Amino acid sequence: MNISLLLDRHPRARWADSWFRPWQMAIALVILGVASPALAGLGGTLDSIRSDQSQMKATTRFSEAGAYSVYEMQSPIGTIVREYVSRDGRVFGVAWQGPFIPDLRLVLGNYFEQYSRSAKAQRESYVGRRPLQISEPGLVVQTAGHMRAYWGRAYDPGLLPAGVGANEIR
Amino acid sequence: MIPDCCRLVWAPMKYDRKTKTVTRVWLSVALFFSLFLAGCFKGHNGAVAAGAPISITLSTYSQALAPGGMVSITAVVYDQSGQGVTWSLTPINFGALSNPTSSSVTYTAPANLGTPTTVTLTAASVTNPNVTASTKISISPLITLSAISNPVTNQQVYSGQTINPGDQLQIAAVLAGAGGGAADVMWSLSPASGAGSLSLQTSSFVTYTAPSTVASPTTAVVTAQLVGSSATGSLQITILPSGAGPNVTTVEVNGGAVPGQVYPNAAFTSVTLCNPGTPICQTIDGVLVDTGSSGLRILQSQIPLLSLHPFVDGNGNTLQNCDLQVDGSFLWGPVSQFDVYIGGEVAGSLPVQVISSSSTTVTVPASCSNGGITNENTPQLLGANGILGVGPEPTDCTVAGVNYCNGITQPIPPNLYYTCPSVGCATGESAVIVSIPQQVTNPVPLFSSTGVGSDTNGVILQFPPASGNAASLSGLMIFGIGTEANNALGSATIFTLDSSDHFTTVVGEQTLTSSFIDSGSNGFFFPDTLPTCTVNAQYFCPSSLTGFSATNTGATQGEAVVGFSVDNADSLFATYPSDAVFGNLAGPEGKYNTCADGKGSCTFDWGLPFFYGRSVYTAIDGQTLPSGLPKGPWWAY
Repeated sequence: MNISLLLDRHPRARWADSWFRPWQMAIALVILGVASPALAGLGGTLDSIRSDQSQMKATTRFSEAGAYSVYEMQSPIGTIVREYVSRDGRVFGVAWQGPFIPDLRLVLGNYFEQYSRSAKAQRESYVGRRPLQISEPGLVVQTAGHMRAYWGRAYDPGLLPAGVGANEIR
Repeated sequence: MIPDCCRLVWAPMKYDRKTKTVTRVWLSVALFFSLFLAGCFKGHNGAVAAGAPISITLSTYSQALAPGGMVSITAVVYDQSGQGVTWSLTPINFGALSNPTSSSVTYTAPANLGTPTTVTLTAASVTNPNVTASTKISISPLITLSAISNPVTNQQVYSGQTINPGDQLQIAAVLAGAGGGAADVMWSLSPASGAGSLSLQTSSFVTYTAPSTVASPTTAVVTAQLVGSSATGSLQITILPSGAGPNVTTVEVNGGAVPGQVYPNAAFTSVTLCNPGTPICQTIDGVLVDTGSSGLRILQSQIPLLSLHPFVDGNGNTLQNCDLQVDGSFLWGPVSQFDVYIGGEVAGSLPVQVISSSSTTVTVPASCSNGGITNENTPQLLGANGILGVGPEPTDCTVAGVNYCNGITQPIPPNLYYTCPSVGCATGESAVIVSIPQQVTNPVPLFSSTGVGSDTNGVILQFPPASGNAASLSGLMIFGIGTEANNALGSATIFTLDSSDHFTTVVGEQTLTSSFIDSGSNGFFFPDTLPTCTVNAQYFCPSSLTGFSATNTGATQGEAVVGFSVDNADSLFATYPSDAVFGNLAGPEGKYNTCADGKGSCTFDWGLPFFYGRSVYTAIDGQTLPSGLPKGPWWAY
């Protein structure tokens, strides 16, 4: 897939429009440095992000915090996704915040199926409406909020860089 | 009745139990005939054999019932493993299944229905659920109780109406269905004493008079039974002690209306939906009252008498709505207009989400289901028959004055609305832009102002105290703020909201800047170090009752201290399995002490226990409030 071709066709495309449009999702996948079919998001790598940084200025903020970097992407509909990337280029945690829940298949990457199974088992084990708490050896997911104001985060405890606490993912 | 072509196979298969030699022979025969069986049974609406020699034969393959009628169905199962069948009904909840065993079940038809309806009862093999047999049961309508006229307010009223002591109602019984003529009925009132009286009874009319005084909210049920039939229709009326008006209805924390389920800390009310501009109506009870969302959502299986009036675009495609929940589940279905009565208020032609009840025939776009966690399309999964969203926003697209779906602020639509052809949506369907009048809308801003005054600017939920646990708790939902004698703000403190409809809660060392009040959450949910439960892992389980003190602060005004306690949820649920009210139920939200700069676990979710012992006001964004009060949205208590 040729990223420059895609971006030329859609010069005003913004990464996070991708929640709902297939062609924009394709751009997102490319920008996240992922060749189809594997998704980026949690557990993925972001090798290509640095070279694409100039294309993403409008919607992406990059910051370094010692043992890791944070890529913050804001969609025009107000939802922010933060990806926490270790020195070796792996996404060890993600967090989101805003009026719409992002595309979790994209944000959770290869952890999506595990999330889906656990969330379904939990939801069908009780009667009631409340936030989600998944705490498994390879995956922690927490969500909160209500209609038009959502928050959530997910991480793999096994991917946390040395010296980095899970509390920093937020 | 077994189709003839199948009897040929069925008879010899019985013999294979008699001797081992014969068994071998007949097993071969059975295998040989399995394809033949499959084709044969399919053609006769019967069992579908799926390769393994399992078959199911039902005691009847068609049946006609009167409303309220019952029939027992028996399944003869041929399965070497000795397993039986499980039973299911389509449409879900049209009538009821009872006493299910591995070989029989009793079906009871609904007591009332407007049009002839056929339900399908299916028995599926436990060993191989692909092997099924079905029977059709057709039910013909007989009677419904309809339009009541209230001589005091001269307005039509419906089941769920609250009235004042001494009020009178005239009630009519009509035949349902095409004819719609007057029904010949016998009237009765329940309870027989203390709930008023019936007078001026005729074969199709009666006058109900409420008791002249009541000490507490009192419910009366007027029932009409068709002469010479078991068919009945009934209307529920609640008499409030004083100050009752058309802007009041009752809410009950009673575990909900789903048999076999106790939904803890959930407030339910009843809502009447009518086909727009007609007296064809249905009252749905067990509807969850939710100040954390906006818009009415009703399970399609609960409104079999009504017809859908969905929004359709120029290509004949129907507008569909998606509602994603925090726990990963979702609601999906068409947006349809109904006249909606809540208490004595009416929102005419309100856009309502009708939750599609048949998961087998509905494709939900992947961007809606967001992974297909749980499609809450049955009362069991939803825990309710619907959700009444009466939060601080006018529609499900809005927050803080921004509408995200109408294409003005946000040109790319979020995953809330789709237009799909009659065959259904595609998995890859894209969301569409929707104008405000077609969005699923909080009914309160659309309440009619005729007759009752304009109670459109907010909602009050009011409950008596419940410090510990109880079987149930009755409260009131009052519409309007400062618009009537019974809904003044009084001494309540107003807490204004930020651009995400949040205020700040300080509890211990934590400053939680994304906090909110939500009657649809069934506990206090906040980040804490209390241990979570072993059995009910989504709640806290402290070793003893633990007290907390928190301070709520509004965005621009309002500050107050709130005390609450957290009890051990595992022992509460084990000790009081049938109770619905738990004033000290709480659970974790996110991670303790990780909120900073508005990021991380910054939420204190003040769920229904917060409402116990309080009057909680929700002022809706964009509505007119009495002078001197800040603009909405805000909460007050």
